[in-house]
Amino acid sequence: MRYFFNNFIGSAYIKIFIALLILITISIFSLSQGYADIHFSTMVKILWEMINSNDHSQISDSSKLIITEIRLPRLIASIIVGGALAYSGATYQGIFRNPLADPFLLGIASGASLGIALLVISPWEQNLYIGILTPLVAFVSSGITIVVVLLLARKAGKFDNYSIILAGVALSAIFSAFTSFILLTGGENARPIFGFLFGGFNTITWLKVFLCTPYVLLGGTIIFFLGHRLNILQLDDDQAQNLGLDVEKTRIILLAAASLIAAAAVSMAGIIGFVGLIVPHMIRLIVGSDYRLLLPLAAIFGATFVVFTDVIARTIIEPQEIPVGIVTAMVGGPFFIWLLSSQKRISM
Amino acid sequence: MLRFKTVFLTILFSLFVISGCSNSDSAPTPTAAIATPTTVSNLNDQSASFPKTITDLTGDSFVLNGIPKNVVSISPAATEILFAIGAGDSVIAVDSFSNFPAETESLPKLGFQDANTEVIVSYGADLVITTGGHEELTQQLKTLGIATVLLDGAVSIDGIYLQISLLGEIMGLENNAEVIITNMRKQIGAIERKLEDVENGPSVFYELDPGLWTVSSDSFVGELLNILKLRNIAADSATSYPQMNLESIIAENPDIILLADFQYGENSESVKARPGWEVISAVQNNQILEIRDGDVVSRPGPRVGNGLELIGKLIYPDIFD
Repeated sequence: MRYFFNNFIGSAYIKIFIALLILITISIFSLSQGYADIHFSTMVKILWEMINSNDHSQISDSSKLIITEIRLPRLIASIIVGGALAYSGATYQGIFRNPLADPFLLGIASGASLGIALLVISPWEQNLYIGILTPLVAFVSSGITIVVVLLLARKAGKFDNYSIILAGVALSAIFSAFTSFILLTGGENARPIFGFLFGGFNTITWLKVFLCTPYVLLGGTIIFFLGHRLNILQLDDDQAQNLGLDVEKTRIILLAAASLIAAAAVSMAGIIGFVGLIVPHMIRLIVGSDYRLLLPLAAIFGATFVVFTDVIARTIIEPQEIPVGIVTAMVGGPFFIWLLSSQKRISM
Repeated sequence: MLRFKTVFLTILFSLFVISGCSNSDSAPTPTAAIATPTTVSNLNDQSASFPKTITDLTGDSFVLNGIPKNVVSISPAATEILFAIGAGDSVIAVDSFSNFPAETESLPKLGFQDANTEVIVSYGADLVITTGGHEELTQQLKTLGIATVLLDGAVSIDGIYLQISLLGEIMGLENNAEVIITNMRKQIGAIERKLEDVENGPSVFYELDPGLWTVSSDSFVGELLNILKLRNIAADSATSYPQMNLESIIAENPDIILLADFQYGENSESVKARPGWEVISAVQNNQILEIRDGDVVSRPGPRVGNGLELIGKLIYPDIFD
């Protein structure tokens, strides 16, 4: 038993280490890519100067600005959003024992966007306070969404897999309709919602990163410490209860934490689909479904996936860029279909 | 393993901490410093007034250290204004819809909804003009220390005048801007005088696209229709750009259908062929009029008088010739 345990920990660390290595490599690659022609060594120098503020060289101000105020906050935001979406997706899947659970299919993202859309057209002046309020409103509205989904899907004290997804999809359609209605009737005030619905990192600033990251860290920490219980939740509820787990309480805490980070991700970068769904699946195919390993790897690969797709989004049709949500769906959609069809083959 | 974790966390942490400090030193280099000695004499007479504070039409203000030399315009109307007031030489890049005047053809096109911030910065922009829908981009560029003006699509002709004055002030070309405005006033005034005797013009459905989107009186095109004494059947709609349905168009029975979507493939023949449209009097009387240059009409810029004349000629051929 002890041998097995040590062995698991050892190989898990190696896998996490490799995943982090890939993320860091892609991140450095991402920092070096962009419209402005900034040589790799210049980029490294700029980053070095950020750490040693005394050491000033002859690098142009615009190169510095591009690396430190445009590419770097964008990279950090895509790491946090990608990690948050995949981490929350994996958590939802564990809570509901449902491989289709993800912030979008559950209606949580649409709930969060409707909340933000209402905030955008609210009579209050759009300023820093609204910026601070945004992730909170997104959290509250996604929380309401998940409660409604659960009420709809609960049958005889148990959650039916199909009912959860159906309820989520139905609510998602309703909320999207309301958001579109706001968009069409809200006139000028509603226009910022457009950019938001497409999803992306083009207008990210350090301020936005700082405003949303704490919620991701808070929710992430809770899942980090409770995530291993998802393994027990994969048993049926009675068995889990017999093993000494307060099933109901664990579910609610994990749900709240997952919704908190999903809502923060939506407030930071809008609607970015498929990350929460496909990344955990991919990881499951590679390392199996032990949540102690699945959760951290999903977060790291989610970050890697979004950093990578964002590089495509901002370089493929230079000098223009495309919303990253389009790229993740274009890359993620076909993968998801392939996954569904290959699973069908296995089950048959 | 612990060591790796520590290193990674240190990197992450330092990324966060450092970024906080770098905000302060991102002020753009004053463009006057770049000017070659030969142009200094030109700048001298104006340099007395710099740095000056400009208040834009939304009430936001910013400090200008000199006349902008590298202007990026992400607004087709603003592009037209800049060229009209003689600031075209300072325009270094535009959005992908900016297609007038012809000089814009050789300029780099930056997209519209998704104009990339890095591209704008790497062009060395010292002034960026954005339009409605770019609120976040505008905020971001300001944070980066780049003078940025959001010129929302004007909803009235007076709004266009204000925008022309503002750009004239920013570019140090106040006199040119005044001349443009005076000429526009003259042109529009002449059209109004021509129509003095028209008591009650025909009713009109202004088609923006085949989905039956149109304009209300609370829009700049709505004002043009008003000046031309046309009775816009959608004038009282709640939003500026409402969507009508066929039933209400038939009920309103417009005398004239104006096709602003001619450039997108609609024409009088295609409208006649639409099922149900044969009962509308505009269709029966062959009064489906094609606006062949939609940009002149739909762009709240210095060519608005031309747009007015274009529609006027279509509707009142006798008066306008």
